[in-house]
Order: sequence, then structure tokens, then C-alpha cells
Amino acid sequence: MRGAPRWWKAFGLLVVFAGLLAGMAINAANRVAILVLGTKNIRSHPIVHVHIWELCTVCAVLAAAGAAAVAWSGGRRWVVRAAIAVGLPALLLGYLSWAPNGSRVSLSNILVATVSGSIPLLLGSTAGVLSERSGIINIAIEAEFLAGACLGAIVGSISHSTVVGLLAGIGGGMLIGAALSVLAIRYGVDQIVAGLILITLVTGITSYVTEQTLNPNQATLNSPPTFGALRIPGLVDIPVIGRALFGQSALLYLAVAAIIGSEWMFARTALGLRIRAAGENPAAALGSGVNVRRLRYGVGLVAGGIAGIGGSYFTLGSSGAFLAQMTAGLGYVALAAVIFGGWRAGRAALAALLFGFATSMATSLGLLNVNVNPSLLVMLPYLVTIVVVAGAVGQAKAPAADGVPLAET
Amino acid sequence: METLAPAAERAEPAVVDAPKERWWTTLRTARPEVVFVLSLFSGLVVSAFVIVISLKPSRAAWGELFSHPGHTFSVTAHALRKAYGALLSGSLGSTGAFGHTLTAAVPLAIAGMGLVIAFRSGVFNIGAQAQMIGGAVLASWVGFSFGGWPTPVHVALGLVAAAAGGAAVGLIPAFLKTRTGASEVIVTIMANYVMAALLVYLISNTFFSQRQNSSPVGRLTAPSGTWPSLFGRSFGVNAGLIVAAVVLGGGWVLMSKSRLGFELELSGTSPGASANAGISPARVFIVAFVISGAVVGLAGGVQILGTTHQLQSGFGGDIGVLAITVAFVGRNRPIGVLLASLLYGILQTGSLQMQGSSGVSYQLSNVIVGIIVLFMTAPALVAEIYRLRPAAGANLRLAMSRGWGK
Repeated sequence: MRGAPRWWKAFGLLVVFAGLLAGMAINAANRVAILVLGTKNIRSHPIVHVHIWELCTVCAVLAAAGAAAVAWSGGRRWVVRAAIAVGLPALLLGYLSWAPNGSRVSLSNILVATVSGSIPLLLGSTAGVLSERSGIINIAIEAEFLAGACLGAIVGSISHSTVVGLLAGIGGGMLIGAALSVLAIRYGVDQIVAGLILITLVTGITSYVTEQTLNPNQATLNSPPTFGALRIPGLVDIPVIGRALFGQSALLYLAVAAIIGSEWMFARTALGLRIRAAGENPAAALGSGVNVRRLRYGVGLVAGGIAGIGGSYFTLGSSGAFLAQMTAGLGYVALAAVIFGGWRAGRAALAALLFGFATSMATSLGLLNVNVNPSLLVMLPYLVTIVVVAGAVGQAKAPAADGVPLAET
Repeated sequence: METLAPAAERAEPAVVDAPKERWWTTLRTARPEVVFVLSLFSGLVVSAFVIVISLKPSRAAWGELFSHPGHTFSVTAHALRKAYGALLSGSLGSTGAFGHTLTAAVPLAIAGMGLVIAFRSGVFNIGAQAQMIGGAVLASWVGFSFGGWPTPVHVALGLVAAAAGGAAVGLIPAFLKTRTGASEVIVTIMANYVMAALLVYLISNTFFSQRQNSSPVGRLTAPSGTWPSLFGRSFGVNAGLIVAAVVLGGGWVLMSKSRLGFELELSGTSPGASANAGISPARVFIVAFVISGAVVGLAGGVQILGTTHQLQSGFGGDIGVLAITVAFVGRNRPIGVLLASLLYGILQTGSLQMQGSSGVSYQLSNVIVGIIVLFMTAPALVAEIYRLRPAAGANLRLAMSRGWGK
């Protein structure tokens, strides 16, 4: 690929998006999409009739503008990412209005589903960023999710309390985080191998517990109370975005706190600087008196706890009961968000929202009578992950000592 | 180029004057075999706790530990004897049971060997499930649509199709890695989910589907493409056993006796040296992924044409995950893969009888496997628990991935 500029992939992708959207605009003829701007009570919320070709044209222009911005800026990293982050939702929004024939499309519902589907990913990717910045590759987010979900459900059911259940979920995540740290730091096990093994082990144990203990005692051990929506008065009534941002489960606000907290820690505090040093140049950190081992253990515990909250969301936050393998690979998707976010908490959160959008898209399109097979829609978040990771790598660098055992530095 | 001498000539110089080791010293040294036995032992011990906690009678008996200690121990011993006894008799107790054990071990051995080829080349292929589905889909298509062909031709064609399907799926992460640098860890894991969804689509909405059935299943393989069973029907082992033997032998020849295998392994263990010797990392990546994918695809074909005879949703999920741990526990060696897959075959087959006769869920086998593989990949942990002496010259650390780097 000598001669081709670095940004040709993103540029090409956006041009394809714009082309697809333009095609839809032409094909739409005079059909009208009904956009519902609220969710709770359709009558009390404004309904907008939009010509599909107008909407698709606007989205096509957005995608084309993204492509132009990428080319004009010479492929600056944040421009490329912003353009993709605008272009992909534009494509999906255009498709969503174009594909169903005369159904109602509720923008607000899609946004609510996007944000709520992103909650575990937001927490998981923050946990991933924390431990990888300290130099430990954390592929075990999936195991931390499973442990948090399972323990949260069991303890929540026994105690009849969401808060106690959440604490147990955090404990479950911390347990896995501690196990990963011990294997990686003390016993020098390859960190990706250690993560995979913890996932195998936790999957085995939780599946066994589900079969052996939870299924026969569904009512007493596996029906925890769930966190209701925490509506922030006033803000929740903002049209379109109100319920998505200010009417969600309490766990969303914990996730936002974790993201802002870690951004602030890395940017402003001495502790953040030490963690970054441990991940980039542990020898230098050691030399300047930082106890790298202890730091990595501590970060591993905290990251495990945060991922444990994400795991609790699967049971205490949404469905209630724990099911074997219910996390369905979302721990790996959170890991992909870490990579796409360039190992920064804030950007990883945006990536998590993108994947949450793809997930909610899969369910929304499944609910509308769109002529796409539901089992193909299931693939959407995973395909988006592959495309995004393939496009993102090489543009961001992992912490230099990520995955390198301390003895080798 | 002298640097590319075959692996056999790299043998370490023999230590002539080393004092003869006593057998008990050998047993207390952290050799791979010792670590393996102790890992298995630890897995069974930890699982014993899990059994005791999860069964009602034994849990109740431990509540009376101080009032009736004898009762507690006899109930515990009874529960454990029953569970582990069923595990053994259900897998090795009769010729039929042993046949089932071998049948379960065959796809694990094939897929495990496929992954070993990738791991030893420094390629972290976690996509065994996806590649098995790729192989199984093509093999199944050959199986049901070429009915009436002579059996040898049909079976051979099914094998070729399985290998091609697995290789095709393996090419995707190889292509993305060499072209864009996308981590093969993430791409192969995501490919597992994508292929699982594609499989559901194929068997519910396309010509793969067996339409008269209400739940989605694939069409049955034609009789001519179904694999013959070996050693009589009661033994129940099909010709996949031969494929497994050929794959393990071929894998050994490839990785330890051939120039290509040497290049792959050199690139895996010391990428810098191999690049200096003129071996292209991109080529190694693609070749390793294609061979590994093809072998794993064979496992899918063996499973479809020999055992299940039709595609089902969830196909390859268990085997795909277990195959990774087979490679880890087998320490990336063909003989290790053979032993590990036999052990897993015993655990999988025996656990079904254990569930029937002692009420311990068959899922316990996954717990045992998880603990064994945990200990096997952390030999330093085993050495510490059992106070083993460090083994001279044996590199116990299984370093394989290269992080997110190239």
C-alpha cells in the first residue's frame, strides 16, 4: 500500500456510507417516516413526519462531510474517529427510517436502548483502560462480568436488596481482578492466557452453579430485585435525549462517575501519573520509588470492582435472573472499546456507546418489521467490533509495557 | 542458510556427568509431567469441595460436623465415591463407554492440534469455534447434497470441504492482521459469535435447513457420506479416529521435522531472529492461520460427518473453548494434546453418567477442566503449593501471546 495515505480506509468507508445513504434517498420516493420523539406516552410527545428522502439526504451529507473532513485534515486521528462516530450512526439512522414500511420509528426509544445497552460496556471499558494503563492486559473483563452478574443475582435474591447485591457483584469482580493480578504479577503467566483461563473457569463454575443450585431454587436464589430507573427531575423531560441520559438505571451514573473519575485521575493526580509510568516504563517508575507491583495489584482490584458493577447490570440492572453465559461476549466488546478508544477512558466510553448503538440497533430493527433475518442482526455488534478494531489499530498505541511481566523490564 | 537447520539438529548438548537422579527427587521436581499429575489432582480436590457444597445431604452433614463427625465423613466419602466412581465407570467402565470417550476425544484432539500449530507460530488463534463451524458447514453441504456417490469418494470430499471451510474462516483474521494490524485475539473471538449467528441463519432460513422440523436443524448427511464405524457398532467409534491419528502424527512431522514448521516456530519464539533470517512475518501469519484453520475445520467435519450427522445451533461452542485448553494443558506438544484430549473425553463422557447416578450436574467437568488448565498454565503456582524443586533446564513458562503488539 505504498503511496496510499494512512486515512484511506476511513475515507473510503465514509464515502461508501454516503453512497448507500444517497441510494436510499433516491429509492425512498415519497415515503414518510414517522419519528416519535418521546417514549412513555406517545400522545403527549411530539410526532414528526419526515420525508425519508430528506432524512437520508441529511445523513448522506453528514457522512460525506465526514469524509471531506478526514481528507482535508490529512487524517488527523481525532477527526477520523469523530467522522466514523458520526458517519456510522448516520448510516444506521438512515437505514432505520428507510427500511420499515410505514412503521413508527421512535428516536427516543433508540437512544434509551443505546445508552442502557452501553452501561456494562462503559464500566467494562473503564476497567480495561485502568488495568491496561498500569501494564496488565485485562482480557478477563468477560469473567469479571460473569462473576459480578452471578454473585449479584444470588446475594441480591437472598438479601432482597439491590445495594447488597451490587456490593456482592463488585466483590465478585474484585475476586477475578485479584486472581488475574496474582497470576500475572506473582506467577508470571502470560496475561492473555491467564485472562482466557479465568474466563473458562468462571464460565464453568457459574454454569455449574446455575444448573446445580440456581435452577432448582429459582424463586429463592435467582430472583433479585432490580434497580429501577432513576429519573432526574426536570432534566428527564427534555425531548428526545431526556430519558436516554437522565432517566436510566442508577448504574449508569456510577459508570459516568467512574469514567470522569479515571480521566481526572490520569490527567490531574500524582497517582494517575504513577499508574501511567507503571504502564509505559516500569523500570523508570521503579527507579523513582514507585512500588509498581503494589500499584498494579491495587489497580487490578479497583478495575475488577468496576467491571463487577458492569456485571451486576446484567442481573440487578436489567433482567433480574442470572443465566449461564448471559454476558454473550460483551466483555470482549468492552475490550475492543478500550482499543478503539486508544486506551483513554473518555474515548473508550464513546466507543462503548457506538457498540451500544449497534446492539440496540440489532434489537430495534428486529422489533420493527424490517426485512432482515433476526439471526443476521445478532451479528451486528460483533461485526461492528471487527470493522472498528481493524480500522483503529495502528492509529493508537497501547501502553508500552502493557502485557510485559515486571521481571522482564 | 545454516540458521534454518532442522529442529532435530538443535538438540541441547547432553550433560554427561550429571549425577543420577533418585526417583523421589524426580517426583518432587517441577517437571511438566509432575505438574500435570498435580494439576489433575488439584482439580479433583477442588471439585470435591464443589460437590460437597452443592449436594444437599453432604451439605447438611457438614452442619453436624461437631455433633456427629463420623456421620459427616461417611456421608462425604459416600457422595464423593459415588460421583467420581460414576465419572470413571461412565467413561472407562465398559467398551461402549470407552468408545464414547474416544468419540468425544477425537474432535478435541484434532482441533487442539490445529491450535497448537498456530500457538507455536506465535499466532493467537482463539477462533476454533468459528473455524469448526466453517468446516462443518461445507462438510455438511457435501454430505447432504452429493448423496449416491461412492462412499470413499464422498467421505474424502467431505474431508477436503471441511479443511477448506476452516481455512477460509482462518484467513479472515490473518488478512485483517497483516493488512490493518487488528489484533487476531479480538477478531477471532468476534468471529466465533458471527459464525455462530450465521450458522443459526443457515439452518433456519436457507437450503441447509431441514424444513419439516420445527426447531432449526440442518439436513441429515446422506448415507454415502456418513463415516463408517470402526471395530463394530457397539464400540461406536467412527473413522474420525483415523483422522485424529493422522492429524497428530502429521502435526508432529510438520512442527518438529519439516523446514516450514521450523520457520513457523522460529517466527513464533523469536520474531526478530526469524525476520533477520529472511522469514516474512506476514507470510508466517497467513500460512499458520490457514493450516491451523484447516485442521480445526477438519474437527468440525469429523464431528458433523461422523457423530452428529446434521448441523445444530450452538455447534462447536464447547469444543472450540475446550480445544484452547487442550493446547494449553498439552503444553503445545502433539503427545500432550493426545493425553489432554483423552482426559477431557473421560471427563465429558463420565460426567453424563455422574449426573444420572449421583445428581451432580455434568457441568462439573467444566469446573475440573478450568482448574486443571489454571494450574497447568501457572506451574510456578503448583511448584509453590506442593513445594517442588525447580527443574533444571525445563522452561515451564508458557509464553505465547505478544500482547497488542506486532
